[in-house]
Amino acid sequence: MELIQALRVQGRVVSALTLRETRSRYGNSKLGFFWALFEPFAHIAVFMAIFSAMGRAIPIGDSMGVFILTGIAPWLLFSNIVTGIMGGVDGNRALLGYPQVMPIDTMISRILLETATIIIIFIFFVVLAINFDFTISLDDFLMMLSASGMIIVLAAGVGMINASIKLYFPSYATIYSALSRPFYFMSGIFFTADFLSPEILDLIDFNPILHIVEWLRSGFYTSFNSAFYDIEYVGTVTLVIFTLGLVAERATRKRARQI
Amino acid sequence: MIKLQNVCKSYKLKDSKKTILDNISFEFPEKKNIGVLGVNGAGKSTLLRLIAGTEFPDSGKIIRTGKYSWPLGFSGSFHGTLTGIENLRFACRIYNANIKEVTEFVKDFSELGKFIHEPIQTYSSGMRSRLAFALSMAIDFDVYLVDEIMGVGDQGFQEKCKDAFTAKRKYSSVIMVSHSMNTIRDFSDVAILLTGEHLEIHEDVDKAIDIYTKLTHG
Repeated sequence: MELIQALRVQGRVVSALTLRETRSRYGNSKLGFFWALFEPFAHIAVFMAIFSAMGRAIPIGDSMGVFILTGIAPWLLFSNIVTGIMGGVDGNRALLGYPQVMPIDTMISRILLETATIIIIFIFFVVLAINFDFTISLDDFLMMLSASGMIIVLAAGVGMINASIKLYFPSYATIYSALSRPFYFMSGIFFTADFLSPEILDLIDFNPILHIVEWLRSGFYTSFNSAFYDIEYVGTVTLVIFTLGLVAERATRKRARQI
Repeated sequence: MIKLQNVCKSYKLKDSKKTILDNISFEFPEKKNIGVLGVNGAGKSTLLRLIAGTEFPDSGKIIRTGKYSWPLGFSGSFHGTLTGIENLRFACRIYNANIKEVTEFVKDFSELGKFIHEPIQTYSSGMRSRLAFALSMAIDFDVYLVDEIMGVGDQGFQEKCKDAFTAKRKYSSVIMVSHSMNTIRDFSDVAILLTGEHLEIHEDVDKAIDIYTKLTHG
């Protein structure tokens, strides 16, 4: 009974926080939604421009834009959740004055908001592509869902670990953003794994995001089934990082409230 | 019921440690209005936050039963960039209170007028505490935890606060921290004195105030 009661309270807190975050970002001006659309659009546009200048062929399907979308969407899902979680406590500092609002609630609400944003934007661009007569037939929806779920859990783990480190070293946020930058080029946003030489692939195949992007694309495209991604590997890495994240959050909870 | 069991609480300062509660076991008297007295830095506000559950003890246990308000203070639980109404809605959602009823009550009680639609960061501290006070009165709690905000505003508003509390007396009680001895005298049945080493309970509020005055003046 006590557990049910506690879950009910947490449910109320998370939904109230999610509502408030959504309102703050999208309620007060149209700029918020415009930015949410513009961010992936900018990435896609830049790569399309570079590749058409290089005369590179579209790796899968008939649209370069859609190909990059299927890479940039999981990437943004990952990086926006991580930065969202890292800023969750600071962005809701005053609301932690309510005893039932826990630091982890701010993190959960940001995961929900970032996920909903990316899903809506993904659908928006897919519908746009269909309107431009590109062929899109979702191959395996469940597979896309599993891959997306995996990257959300992975991001939650990384985000919680980062948020805990940031409590002790505030400048860590800058360090993390520098550390994570190379991953942008190693995550298959604008290439597929079989496009790389075995030597290079050997160097970057530890990157779970690359596996997840390949996995997601295998679900998205009928004509593409990657032999590269390894669900067992990604699952293990994700589970370890997520568990570490939960432990870190738990260990730093008191401090998060006090600062 | 509030029961402290072997509670320790301290803060790390630059190169020292400030101990606020050192292995305290204490049971608060039930259904009584309690005034908490203590010199600056003795940890009155911390004690209130520990009771509310917004802060945790370093070690030991705090057992509470009943519904407690958040600590009503100047710094507040209000988010600066949100408007008064938005903050109010947030509180209603997490306390499962009726938004419409609470809004009506708060608009009337707080006398904020159209400021209620402005961001909290534009409020004066008096306006903040009027909102906090009105909001907490609109939600039913068993115990109200009041950190200094009593005795703000003009005479009229103070009377209103007093009346609101008197009306609630049957079902609720208050634990308050205040520097104003008059406020403590007006509202408390018993007083708790925080001396830095231990908690002392005094059934006689006036006597507690005497001891406190001696502490602060010498």
